[in-house]
Amino acid sequence: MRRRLVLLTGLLAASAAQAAGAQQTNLTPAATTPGDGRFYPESKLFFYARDGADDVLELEQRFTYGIGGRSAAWIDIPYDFDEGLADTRIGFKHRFLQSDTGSVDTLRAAVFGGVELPTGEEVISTDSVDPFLGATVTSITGRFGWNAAATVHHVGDDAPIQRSPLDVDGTLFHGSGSLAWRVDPVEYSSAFVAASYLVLDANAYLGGSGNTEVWLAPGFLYEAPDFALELSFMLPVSEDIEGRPERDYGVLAGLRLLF
Amino acid sequence: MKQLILIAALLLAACAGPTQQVSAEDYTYASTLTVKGMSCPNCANNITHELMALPGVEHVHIDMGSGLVSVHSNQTLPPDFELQEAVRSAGFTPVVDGK
Repeated sequence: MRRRLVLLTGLLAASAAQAAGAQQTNLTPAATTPGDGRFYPESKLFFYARDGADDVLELEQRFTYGIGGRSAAWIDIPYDFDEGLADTRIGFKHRFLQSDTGSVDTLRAAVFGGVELPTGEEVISTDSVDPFLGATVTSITGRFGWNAAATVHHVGDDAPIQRSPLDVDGTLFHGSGSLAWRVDPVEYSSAFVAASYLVLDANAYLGGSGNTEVWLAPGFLYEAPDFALELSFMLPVSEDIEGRPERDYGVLAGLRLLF
Repeated sequence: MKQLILIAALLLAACAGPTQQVSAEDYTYASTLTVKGMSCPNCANNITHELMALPGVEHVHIDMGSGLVSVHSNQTLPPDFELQEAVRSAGFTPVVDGK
């Protein structure tokens, strides 16, 4: 089972790499940062239908601040509408590679890391300071883009196995890849316009108390100069988990603002 | 459900904003840069914001198709190297000496 998941994750990453050129898609970290001094709030509303358990509705609020054009710091504040505040994450990202080869075309790579702090309600907190470290690559060529990211999370020994794969004990590998295709406009012009994309995110969680999950999420992204709207439908490809209900499907609706 | 409706209303209200139609012909001074890597509308917004923060810059027009960024003012504009540095601070690559 584990080998199949690793293989599937590899195939997804490879398929992303072959397709050339995406923005920050809905569910994959990107090697993008706001400009120096820019403030970028993102709100993501998640709905999960669970097998034999109550549905979950969660709002994840992220505030990102751009530093020097190549770095950014952020804070994530998740809120579960049934259980209350979940653990807060703070992180830092630095873009170490940037190769802009055309008016639109770019290849960028960044490293990021941070900690999840036990600030949440007891029933949904891991009760420990949990570090994470990752890297991401973003490429855009014309109307096509791809992202690939890998993150390692370590969660303390006393973590309750609750809602998400990021809540389990031990060391967890989170791999993600995405494709984006700009549907409109086909060609950018001198008119300053918004852009619409079809996106496909793939997320795989391996490890952490033997829990494994792979999700695919087709979606839509609308990006205007100072805000973006995102919508994704999340489908589990494989779930092998213990201690918490499986999730049948999920829906994400999000909004990003640029100040 | 009421919470959701309230959140949705707040988010939509946050998206709404005034728009301003200004023409390049309204200005005396102009300077043009070529910029690489502007792959999205947010990217162009970042560049506009950084350039508008420079003293004297009153209007910025971006052609994402060609990568041309035009800066306009009725006052003397900052030197090219300052405009290029602002583009770098926004996270993009200005073409300098044809490179």
